[in-house]
Amino acid sequence: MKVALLYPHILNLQGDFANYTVLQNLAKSAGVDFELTIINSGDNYHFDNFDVVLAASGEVAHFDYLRRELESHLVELQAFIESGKVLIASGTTQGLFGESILREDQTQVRGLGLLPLTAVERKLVYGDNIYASTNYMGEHFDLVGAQICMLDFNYKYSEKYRPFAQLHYGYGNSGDGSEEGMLLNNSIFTGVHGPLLVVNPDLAWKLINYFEPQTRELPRPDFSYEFRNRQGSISYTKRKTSQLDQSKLYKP
Amino acid sequence: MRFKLALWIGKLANKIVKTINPRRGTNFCGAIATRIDPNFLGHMHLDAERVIFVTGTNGKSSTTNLLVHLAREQGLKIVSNLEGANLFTGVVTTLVQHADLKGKLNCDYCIFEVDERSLPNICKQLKAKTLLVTNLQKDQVGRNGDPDFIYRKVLTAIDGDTVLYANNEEPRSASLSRYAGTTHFYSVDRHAKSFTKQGFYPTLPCPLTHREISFQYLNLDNVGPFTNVDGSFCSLPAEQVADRVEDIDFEKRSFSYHGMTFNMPYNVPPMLYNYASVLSICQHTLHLDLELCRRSFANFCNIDGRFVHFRYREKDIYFYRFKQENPDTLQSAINFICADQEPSALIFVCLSAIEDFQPYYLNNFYPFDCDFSGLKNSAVEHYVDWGICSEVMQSTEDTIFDAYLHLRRAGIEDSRISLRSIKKVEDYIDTFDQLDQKRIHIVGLLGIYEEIAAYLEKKGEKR
Repeated sequence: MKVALLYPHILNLQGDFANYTVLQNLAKSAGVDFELTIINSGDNYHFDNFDVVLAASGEVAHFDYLRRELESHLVELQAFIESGKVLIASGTTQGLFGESILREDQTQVRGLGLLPLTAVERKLVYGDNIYASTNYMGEHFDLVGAQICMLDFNYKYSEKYRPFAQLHYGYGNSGDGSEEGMLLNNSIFTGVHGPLLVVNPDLAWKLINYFEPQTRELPRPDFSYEFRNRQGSISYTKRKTSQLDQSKLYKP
Repeated sequence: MRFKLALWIGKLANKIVKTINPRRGTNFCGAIATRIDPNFLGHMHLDAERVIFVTGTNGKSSTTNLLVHLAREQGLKIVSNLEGANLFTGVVTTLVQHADLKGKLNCDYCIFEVDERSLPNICKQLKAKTLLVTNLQKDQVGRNGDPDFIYRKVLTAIDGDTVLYANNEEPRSASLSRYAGTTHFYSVDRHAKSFTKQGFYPTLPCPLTHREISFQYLNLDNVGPFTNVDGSFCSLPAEQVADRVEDIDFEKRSFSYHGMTFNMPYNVPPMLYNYASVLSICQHTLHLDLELCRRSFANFCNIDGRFVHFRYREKDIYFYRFKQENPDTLQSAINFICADQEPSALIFVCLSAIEDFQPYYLNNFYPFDCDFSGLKNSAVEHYVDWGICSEVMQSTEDTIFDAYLHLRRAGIEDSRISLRSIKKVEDYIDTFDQLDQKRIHIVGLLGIYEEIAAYLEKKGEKR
């Protein structure tokens, strides 16, 4: 399995880089070769050499630079996504792959234009849990995580550009609606940032199964503690909304 | 007239609050005064030359405490918010408390610890010529978002007249020098607890060129001599930074600064940058006698520091108060424990529940920025994961597996980890009694330390 981290010294806000470690550990336990590539400024690389590319959440201040870095790879990045390989872009970095971001000072940051997405920088930060579910590669997954919203996202969904997940609790794209992120073929663009694959390891195992078909015969690894931890997050979220005085809950 | 009314009512409110509870009221009377006169700070008409702001992610309180201590020891009259209320209303409260009935302050300098997010609002009314920035790192992401969000806030306090004190080895604060009239860089030499990271580990983007930054070595997490990928922005070489803490000896608790040997009141790495910045500002802004500063180091006692040591029965307990959602302070605590050669036990206290403001949430991500792997080969023999209840967490099951999974991922065997649900304060103490080890490290929040300390003091068992 070949995994690349896209500019991880620039995009690394919320512990996202740990996502590769869960893929690495699961691959190792399944007897699968694992190859990690770190993509840094000026590196010569080709997207078609990878199965999974992880683009962690980052500061919008650096997106103009990153767009210029990535523009020369745009055609092969499109082909990578079209071929069913997996790009996971989380948090603010969704905006890098969209059309544009309107910053608080009213300047415009141009994105790569791969997604029908515009974003607007928020004046106030909003952080909260997120609890959602998705149908990914034909399988149902519950997802938990956290969301630190620096941008509001306006996705234009269509048959090709579908929501990634349905929200049960959380801010989602812009505080409205129950749709979250975008799924383009198998590539994921989501506000569930940070260690998405670590706290939802069944999703990571799905990626191993997809790229390494021989592992589909293997029993799923024991995720009992991870699932208890995830269940704890879901319980916490439910209790927060049901037992606390609703007037105390912050409305973004 | 509005200003004076605000001042008088604020003073009255302060008197009432202090009569009821002398430890409370660090924001209350400031909130009242501001409601009456929203431009209260501006109406104080303070001379910017006599105002010093201390801001940054970590080390604000310790730095302010030490700075005020050294200045007062040399006879300067200082007004400061040492009680730790560092928001807009906290600064107003301090001024209400210290101003006379006409709104005049009898002091040589105002030294304020200022919350980074509050800086723009405070600066709209109250200018400080001198600004000390400790560091700008990931912190309290639920309201601070990303470091660039805070960077932009801090920039609002800097212009061509500003005298900036900046950490030479912390890229974001060092880069602020481009915007200040004058910058004094302070620095810390390599020491026995400096480290390098093995394998791949993300650093941070250059705040000026947006490219990767690499560190030669680290004195603290993401703090050390650095350069960006094209060499266009880097920390100044040692010989170009005069205000430098050197010859650091943690055993002898000493360091040198400008050729003079100082006693180290707290021999932990994060304090070294506080020492450097404070001595720099004492020299260049307050014009204090360094020899007298040296003597005053001996009797400095920090308020609410990050590191507390106490004895319980025959056990030494080291409590690391880390800031939640701040991976750098968590990493510093882990590094410190990994460097301890004596056999010990380590207790982690719920890393994930953030319940200081709404919406409460579980932050399950920031510890993933930390490297726990050093624990595997450390002298820690046993680990305890304390699960605690809170307003929302009526069951410790919600979060108890979070720290446990971090330890497992670091390669710690299950047999060396205990899970312990804490329902009452006696459960903390029982954990100490159950552990065989004579040294116990605890990584947790200050509130838990205070609860344990109050209980043990009541029982007469804390030394």
